[in-house]
Amino acid sequence: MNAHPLEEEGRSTRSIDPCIVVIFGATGDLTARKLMPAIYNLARESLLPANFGCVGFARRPKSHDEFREEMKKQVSDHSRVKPIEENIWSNFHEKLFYHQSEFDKDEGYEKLKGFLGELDAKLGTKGNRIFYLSVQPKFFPLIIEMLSKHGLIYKENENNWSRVIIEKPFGKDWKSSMDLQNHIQKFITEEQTYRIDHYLGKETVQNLLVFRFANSIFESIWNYKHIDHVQITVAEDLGIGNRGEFFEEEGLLRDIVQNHMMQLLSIVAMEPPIDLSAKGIRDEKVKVLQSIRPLSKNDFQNNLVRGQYGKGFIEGEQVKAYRQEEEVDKSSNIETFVALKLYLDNWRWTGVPFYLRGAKRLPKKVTEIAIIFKDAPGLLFKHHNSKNDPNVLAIRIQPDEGISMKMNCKVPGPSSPVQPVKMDFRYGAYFGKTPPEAYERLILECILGDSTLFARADEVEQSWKIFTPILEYWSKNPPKNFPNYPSGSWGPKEADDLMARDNRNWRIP
Amino acid sequence: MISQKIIVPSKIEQELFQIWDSLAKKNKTRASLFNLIVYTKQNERCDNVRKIVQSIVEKFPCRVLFITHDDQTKKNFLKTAISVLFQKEKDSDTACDSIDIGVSGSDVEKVPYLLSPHFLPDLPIYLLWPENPIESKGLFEKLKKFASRIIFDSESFESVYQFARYTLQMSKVHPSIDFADIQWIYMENWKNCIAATFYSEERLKKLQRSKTIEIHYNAAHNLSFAQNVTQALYFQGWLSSRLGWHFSKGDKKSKTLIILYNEDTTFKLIPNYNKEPKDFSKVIITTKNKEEFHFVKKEAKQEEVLIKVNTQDQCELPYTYYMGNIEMGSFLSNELTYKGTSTHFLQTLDKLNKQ
Repeated sequence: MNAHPLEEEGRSTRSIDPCIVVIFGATGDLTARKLMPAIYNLARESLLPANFGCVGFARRPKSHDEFREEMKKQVSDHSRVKPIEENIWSNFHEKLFYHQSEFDKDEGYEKLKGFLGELDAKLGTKGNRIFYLSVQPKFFPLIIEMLSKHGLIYKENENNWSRVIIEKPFGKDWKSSMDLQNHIQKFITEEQTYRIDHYLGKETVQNLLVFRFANSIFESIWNYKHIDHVQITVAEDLGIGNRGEFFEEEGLLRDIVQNHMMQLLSIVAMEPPIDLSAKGIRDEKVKVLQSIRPLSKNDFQNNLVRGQYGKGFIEGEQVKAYRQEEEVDKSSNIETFVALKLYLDNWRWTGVPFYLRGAKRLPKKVTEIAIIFKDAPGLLFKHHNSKNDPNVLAIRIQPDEGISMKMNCKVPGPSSPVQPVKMDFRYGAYFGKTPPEAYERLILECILGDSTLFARADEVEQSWKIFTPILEYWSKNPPKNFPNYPSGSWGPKEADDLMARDNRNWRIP
Repeated sequence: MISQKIIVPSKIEQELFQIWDSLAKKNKTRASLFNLIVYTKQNERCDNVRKIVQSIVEKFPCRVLFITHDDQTKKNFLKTAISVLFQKEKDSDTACDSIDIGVSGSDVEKVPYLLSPHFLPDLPIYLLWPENPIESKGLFEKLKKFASRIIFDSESFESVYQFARYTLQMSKVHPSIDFADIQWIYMENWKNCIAATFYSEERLKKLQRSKTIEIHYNAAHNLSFAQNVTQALYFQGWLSSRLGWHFSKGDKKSKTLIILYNEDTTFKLIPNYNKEPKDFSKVIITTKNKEEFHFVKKEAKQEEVLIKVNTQDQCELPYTYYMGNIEMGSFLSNELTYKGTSTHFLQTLDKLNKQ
């Protein structure tokens, strides 16, 4: 496509197609805490198209003005930039609308169609649509079918386009994800489908690509010859809060490991893409997932740990056990902790274990990728008669985003004791503390029609292929010792044992 | 900002080290992404330049080397001071340092030698030069060789045409240096507004068929801005270069500049002496088919433009385009520091150079 003559590549002048974003589940928590603040901040940064509208679709009756007032409060509470700027809001709120309907009622969709037509005439939005499905997964197939049935989604053509953003989880296992995929592809194409994994919208996750492929010094050591192992940690200090019903259905493996952690692993382990297009990057990520060695029965027993938090202490305050949380079965066997070891059977990573640890109610909230390098050969500089600490490159995804490098250093003085020291780059120190929220970037990318930061069908499928056998094994072999770690600890003993068997330790991030 | 401390040049790094040592105990992080040399004359525009520097530091911490030249006195004078610049962002624990040099008379020759030891190694050096470099040739030439990016202010030149000639020549001689102009950057919002309005092929064709384009620019003077026609000239140069129009002739009727392209497309640059400088109050585009596109800045909300589109068949409902505050956002800082030389900028200069 030829560039627009009035815009200059790489600069802010971008012609963004006019459009309307319709949010299904507009009265839900995600809309209030993330989506609306994200859209407001896009408006604040002048990144939305001039001709723009946003329609909230939900079941509760509400007027446009009531919806606007509620959203104003939510944006005030949850925007990354506070306080809300009145002049921006006054302009923005004129573009906000509400549409009440049940998800399964034809009449609601017909009225929506008419209403969007009116808005097109009023706002100049040209029939371009984004439908954001921020609803329970069981409604995904129904809504997409209804949108198609009523002519609200249509194939991209010269005049207009329609796209659908689907929140996670995309299925509960391999079969259900394939069923969902097979159903929705009757109505929308892969190009129209934007499966969100908000980790991909994080600046620091995107920086991983820059870090790896824009710095020549790392690529030459980014392989089995130099790397001993990789640890990926996604830890939350919070429990499940008011998501008891959801979590009882999902568990941590589905909630965090199958999606977020697999995305992190893919980007850390992928080969350089041929270009930065959506296809170029996603092709390489899929290859990583395809190269993951399937877990054997022996792995299920020795290289996989599940856990559930008991009562304990977080920041000095006593917190309750998972089984005491609201809407949770008192004898629940749902996991809130997962640790596992994976191998990638490819040239670059042969023999390098990837240790993954995701959990609720650990001592702190932290997401980190740690690359642990092999020891220096020989023992020239002994440290208390033991070998020196390995070099560690730690990439902090959140919070306090940054990169640190641990290296060994001589302590001043006549003898030569060796002390590990840390070289630290803090993202916030250079680029400010309020980077754009992941959802801002993702919504903007969808408006621009760039699917690079969204999961492709084969990525989701491949990931489920890895984890569905685990879910099946767990369902046949219920845990005997739940809860098996106190809140505020770093997880069950079995997770430490997993590392100890390999003569390694979990990092304390 | 930690207030300026006047010190002798030989103590600059030592004194900065002591300040940072004390700030480290308060968990302040010293950060620098580049060296920024700023040169300004001791005059009423100096405060405006300091605001620009602050807006850069807000987004991108850097080592600032700020030269204030008093060219009104022949007395030799050289004074150095240091200070620490903080980001205004709430809870920010990042800061960077500033080395200020006040100079006059022949002591100006010492400045390059004074600055050289204080460049942070391995970081790029940018030169913010909002004065006419032709007038301060000696110092500019000596500092230019360090720079990978030079930011001018075309206002400081005799005219935008002189600036165009000078910068085009510079960009040919120094292809490895990026060039930018503060006035060009200030026009960004209007360029975005026009690009967003004429985004579609259908709209773009209408723009191509323009008969007259009126630019009502704000022409009141203040202490910082004197040549308010600059941005209007830039705007017409940009549009004509992007749309491939050929200059036919220029004229002036009363205070209005009239520029004809392709023999049948006329720009009218109309001054409004009642408006604060540095912007346009409205732009009206009329096509050969008598379609009209009105872009009018709202009186009460200067960051908003009301857009009305009238064709022969219909009048669309007016809508608002939000421009944002270019000085508040990251745009100014990005343009001043990170982006390479804009192709549109050079093409516009080329257009102006041929007028």
